[in-house]
Amino acid sequence: MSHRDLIVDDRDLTRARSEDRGVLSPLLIAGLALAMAFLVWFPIGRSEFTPIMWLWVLMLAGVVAANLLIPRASRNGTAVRVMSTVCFVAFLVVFPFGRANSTLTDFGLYAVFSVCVIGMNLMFGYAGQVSIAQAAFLGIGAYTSVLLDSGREIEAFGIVIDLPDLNFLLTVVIAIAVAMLFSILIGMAGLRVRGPWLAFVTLAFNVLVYIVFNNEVGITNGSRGIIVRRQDLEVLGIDMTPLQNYYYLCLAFLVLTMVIVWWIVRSPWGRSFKAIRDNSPRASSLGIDVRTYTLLAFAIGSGLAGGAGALYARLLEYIEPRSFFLGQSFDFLFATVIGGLGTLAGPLIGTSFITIISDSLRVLGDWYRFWFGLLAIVVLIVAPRGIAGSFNLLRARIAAKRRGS
Amino acid sequence: MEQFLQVTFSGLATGAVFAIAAVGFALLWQTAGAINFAHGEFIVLPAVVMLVLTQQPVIGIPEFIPLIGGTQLVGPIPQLGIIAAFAITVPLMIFLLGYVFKRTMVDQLLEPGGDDIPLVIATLGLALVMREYLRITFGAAPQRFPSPFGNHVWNVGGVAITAIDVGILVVATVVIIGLQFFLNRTYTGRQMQATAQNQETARVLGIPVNRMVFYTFAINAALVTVAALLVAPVTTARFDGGISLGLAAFTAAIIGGFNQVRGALFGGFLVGVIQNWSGTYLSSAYREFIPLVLMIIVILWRPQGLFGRPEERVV
Repeated sequence: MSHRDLIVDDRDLTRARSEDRGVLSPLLIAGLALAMAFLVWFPIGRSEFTPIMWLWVLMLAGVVAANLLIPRASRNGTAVRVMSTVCFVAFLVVFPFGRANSTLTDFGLYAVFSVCVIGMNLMFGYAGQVSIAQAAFLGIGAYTSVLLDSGREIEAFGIVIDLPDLNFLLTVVIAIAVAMLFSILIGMAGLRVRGPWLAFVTLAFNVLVYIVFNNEVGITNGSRGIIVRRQDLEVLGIDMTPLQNYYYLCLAFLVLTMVIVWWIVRSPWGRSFKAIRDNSPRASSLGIDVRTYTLLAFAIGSGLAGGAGALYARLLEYIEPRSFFLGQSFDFLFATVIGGLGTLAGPLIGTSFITIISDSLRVLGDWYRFWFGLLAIVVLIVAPRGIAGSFNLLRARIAAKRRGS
Repeated sequence: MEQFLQVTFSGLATGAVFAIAAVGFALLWQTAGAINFAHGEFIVLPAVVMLVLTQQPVIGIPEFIPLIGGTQLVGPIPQLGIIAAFAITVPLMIFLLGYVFKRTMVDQLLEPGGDDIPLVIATLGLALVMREYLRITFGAAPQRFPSPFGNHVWNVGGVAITAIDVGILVVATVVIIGLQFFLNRTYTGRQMQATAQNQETARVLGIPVNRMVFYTFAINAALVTVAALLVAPVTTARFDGGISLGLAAFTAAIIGGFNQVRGALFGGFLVGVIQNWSGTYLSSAYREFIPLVLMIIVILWRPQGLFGRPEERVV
């Protein structure tokens, strides 16, 4: 009896499961393309579906087709990549212009959350360590920045402190620095041993941060939150009171982040990150200091979330502890996975699922988050490379088929 | 002094539930290599099922199913006592949270010698899915859950001892001793432990590893149902109750040592008592604060936990 079991087990062992899963991912892509086609019949965001929308749909179809059919390695491939990026940025610049505040808020949240997800992807997709505290860093950045430029009075441990009224951009830099500092402290605990420990420590850290935000009423105003007015906010001489101006600031921050991360991934740092993710003992035998590099990726990823937090506070003009609880961190994590780990386009695709698309899918009503969670599970099982990764796979297959014929 | 005894006693009762939950979490991790972050929701689901069986014999059809969605069938199910409901729920949970969970998620995502992070994220997704499902179908309001032990209160030297607390401690002790007996004294239990310690060696020795792994899932499903029966009368049944329960189970397993059943047991009681102490003597808002800080310290100082065996590094 036990001998038979032994044989069954061996067969299970030798079955290459990851290969099986790869086969299905083009199917998933086709399903998602259908879903996207369905989506364009619904108003994007809360704005109206106008004839000009067809122009955007046409552009999207063109970009997708060009990316799919033109091999990446050729000279045309580079041109396609540049063109896709330009189209993407152009969409974010032109589409929200002159639209209602709700659409601008949606797109602003998209820009801010994209930065968080890009940070998470840098750590998870490139350095291979998962952090579940991205929302905590978002919150740390938001509270740091708000407290430092408001000139308000806080009370901590019975001592009343008058806070300074610093320049907004300076507070963004400080928010990034504070988030990085915390992440280094946390990372020193979580990265001592290789394994899922960083995930555990960051999970605990996110709950701790939430408890502090909620209960240190003297500093954070507790669960009532803080109202952050955008009036009198000037950045580089531009008045930020209109939401539209502020949205373009968020977009500039997103583009800057994309450029920085693009540069990091191609630099020796980025190559070290990938080496660690793929085979950490080998990386360390090649002289890469695994712990320092992982910590570095973690610090950069968290710092980005901290900076995003500073922008987030003025975008919504209100912050409260609930926005920075575990649920938000999980959303970032699922967005990273759905979009595609270790790709530059992945976070930009994934984030739309927690901002722009979630508003278009009001038809699903209450069930949206249910389906979102299910989608994350299905992607993990069926197409672990996410949407962007599966897309790359599909393109490689098309290229291989052409070479073959 | 009386207050201290009071707080410690109810802390032990809370801790007993955490201990049962933490043992399930640790068993899954050790035997199957599966880190289950939906553990709290695994406790909430049987609580809701038992409540539905005892109180509202109604089956609701989810709204997304076309045509018949949103309707409620008042079935011919008679109202059941809580113990009968428990007896029905255990096999149901062994099927759902044991067999279905293992086949659809764990077997798909956990490759031998592979990374365990995809399953961690997938179980986080599962937790979200279960929470949302319960929120919409069961409702957002917390529901009172009948106590299987009555509501009697004894007064022993100024310390109020409730029948629920005594019942929790008794049942938890019986379950834990029974589990230890099963794991250490029976043939199947020994095979399971061998599987947990080293799957490859166990396979070579002719132990049906896959079946042992499934038994672990079944035991875990039974344990969460017991935990639900014990904890729901205290915390009420609520769709988001799983967050703090899962966090407590996971904290307890890490502090005590996830690769030892007695480590998770000790961790559970410790977390329960510390939560009650800090809730009483510091501030109720900081109930969950100290155990989490303790967990970070333990990871920093002894990643294998207070009672755990250090693991050899597998490259």
